[in-house]
Amino acid sequence: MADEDTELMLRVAAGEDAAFEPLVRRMLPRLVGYFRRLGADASIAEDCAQEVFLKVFRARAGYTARAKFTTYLFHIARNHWIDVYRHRKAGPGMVSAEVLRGDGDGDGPRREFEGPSPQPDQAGSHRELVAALRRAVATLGQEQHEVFVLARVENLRYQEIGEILGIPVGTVKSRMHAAWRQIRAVLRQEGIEPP
Amino acid sequence: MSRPADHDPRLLDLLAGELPPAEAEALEAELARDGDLGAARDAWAAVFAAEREAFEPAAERAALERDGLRVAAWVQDTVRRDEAAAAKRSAAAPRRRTWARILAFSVAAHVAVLAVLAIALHGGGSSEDAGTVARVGMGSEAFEVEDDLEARYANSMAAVQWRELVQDDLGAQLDDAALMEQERLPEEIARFDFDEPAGWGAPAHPAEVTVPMLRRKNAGLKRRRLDLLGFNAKGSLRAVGRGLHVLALRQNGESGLFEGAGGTTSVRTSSLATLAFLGEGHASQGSRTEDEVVARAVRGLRRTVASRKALAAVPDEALGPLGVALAEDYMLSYGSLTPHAAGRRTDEIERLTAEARTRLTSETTLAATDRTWLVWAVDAAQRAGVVGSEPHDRAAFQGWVASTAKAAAGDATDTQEALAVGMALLYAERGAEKPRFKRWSRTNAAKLLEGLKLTGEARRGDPVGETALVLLALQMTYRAY
Repeated sequence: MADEDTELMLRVAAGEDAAFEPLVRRMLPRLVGYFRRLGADASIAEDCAQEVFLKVFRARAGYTARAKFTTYLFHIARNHWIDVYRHRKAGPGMVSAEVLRGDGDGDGPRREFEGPSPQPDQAGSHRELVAALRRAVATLGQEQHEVFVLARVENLRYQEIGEILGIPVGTVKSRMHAAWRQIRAVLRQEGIEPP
Repeated sequence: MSRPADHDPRLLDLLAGELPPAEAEALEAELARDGDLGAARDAWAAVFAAEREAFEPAAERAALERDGLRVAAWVQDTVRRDEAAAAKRSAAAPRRRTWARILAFSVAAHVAVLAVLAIALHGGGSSEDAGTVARVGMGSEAFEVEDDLEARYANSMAAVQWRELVQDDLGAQLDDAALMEQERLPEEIARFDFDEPAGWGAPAHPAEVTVPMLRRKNAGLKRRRLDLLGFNAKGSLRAVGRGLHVLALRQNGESGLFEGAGGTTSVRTSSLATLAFLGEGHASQGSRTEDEVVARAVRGLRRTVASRKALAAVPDEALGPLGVALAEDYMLSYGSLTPHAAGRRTDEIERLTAEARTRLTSETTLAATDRTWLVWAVDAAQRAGVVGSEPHDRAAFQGWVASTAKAAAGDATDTQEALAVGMALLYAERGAEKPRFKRWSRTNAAKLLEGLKLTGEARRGDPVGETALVLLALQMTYRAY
């Protein structure tokens, strides 16, 4: 039996537009989290998530439940991010919302990909930890980063990641282990251990 | 040498829920016995939890779930609109291709003749060089214009747009194409005699000036130009669509005006929001969903101008946007093709223009931004043919443009600058000296686009006026380039 997300999408595909709203409500936070892990700031992540839903709804008539809906959704999301990334590399780059709000230091896209440095007023250890984690994730190699991001999206299993990326489950697992160790190592270098 | 406990890969798989049940059970038993291994598991669990909070903060997650309704509505609206447009294009495709070939052949022939003329005149040092070359340049855009024609036949205003298209963009050399195109127009529009000058409108509405300032011409070409400047045109158009959707949601059903913070409405905010819709080609006499939004808003705004006495109470900052909104809607809705049908709708615009002139000439303490808007309101009423060009207007014109340029060159905001750029270029087209101001940089364009995205967060504050201004600035960018 299909999972709840897949059931909802099948109803959308059958022409029941009302099923789309609960699907978006369920998946929007996860998609935004996915794009943020890839390096987007909050506003760009939200924008990307909306674009992905636009693509899903446009292609609704052709949807078939060959895999879980999340697998299908994040496959589209990944391709969308590749497009965004290429556009950024080719174009002038956008000024991040954080920079415009004065939260960043004006380095633009590079800062978006590395995450903001801890500010002097962010004295709390939790905020330091969050900032350090963003920096640590930014140090991951491309393959590790890709697997890591997909795995950290709730309920996305190694098997699904393998299907999305077209790699064996064992490779997914080894990349995940390497990613976590790298993150832990960076945290230790910065003298930070989670509570 | 044994490996440290926190290097045990099983811990990571356990926390990720990826360990097979039997192995998980065995590891749990081991964790209960081995204190170091248990501590390592707890440390990893803390890293996992901190990572989740870093990228998916609980508070933000709840807000995003609430936003799901808005996002779903926007997605469905956008896709349905696209699908409807595609279906229309598909139905008309065979005939369109035939006419496109005929039009293309006609345009190509005219362009070739004009090119020869331009070269000849250039060699002779004629004073008409610039105009001739410009016409040749316009000819090259004909294919793009033709590509846009199908959408223009969506409603009865197609004839107005087609007439403007021919006269503004391509010039008289396409009159023969206009004759051919009559066959494609709806029957009631085809009744107009395109060959008869009187059919184009009353003398009070000279065609060369009745151009809505907000109408976007040659959109595809401008998108490419903007992208060359580093402006993400496709992204900005999507952002504009989202912005309009947000504004539509903030319209008060009873008054037709747009609601700002705390559910309050204001003439200025509603005028700006109306202009944002007009900038996308929506007008009160159209038949699309967004056109109905404009129609409601215009009805609400007109009620505020019911009498000269009521108008006197409208503050400077609101009067200009109000005048521009009504005049631009008039131009987009009626143009000059059906001036008599518009009839009494010009009363409010006449009253507004008189009030704007009074304030421009008698008040010396007007803020530069308010003055700019008032000038635009007078100018729009003139272009609409509702009022004539008064002698003192003409005398003051250069001064008004200069104040606009000054505002643009000073510490004006991005949105003010965009508006000023659009105005100044419009005036330059009409023969005024083009004022000097810093040219828009791609950074400014990017900031504007980001500013619009930020309204997603600002929606919880007072977004309508600011959203409308940013939308206008984006639309002005198209107008300016």
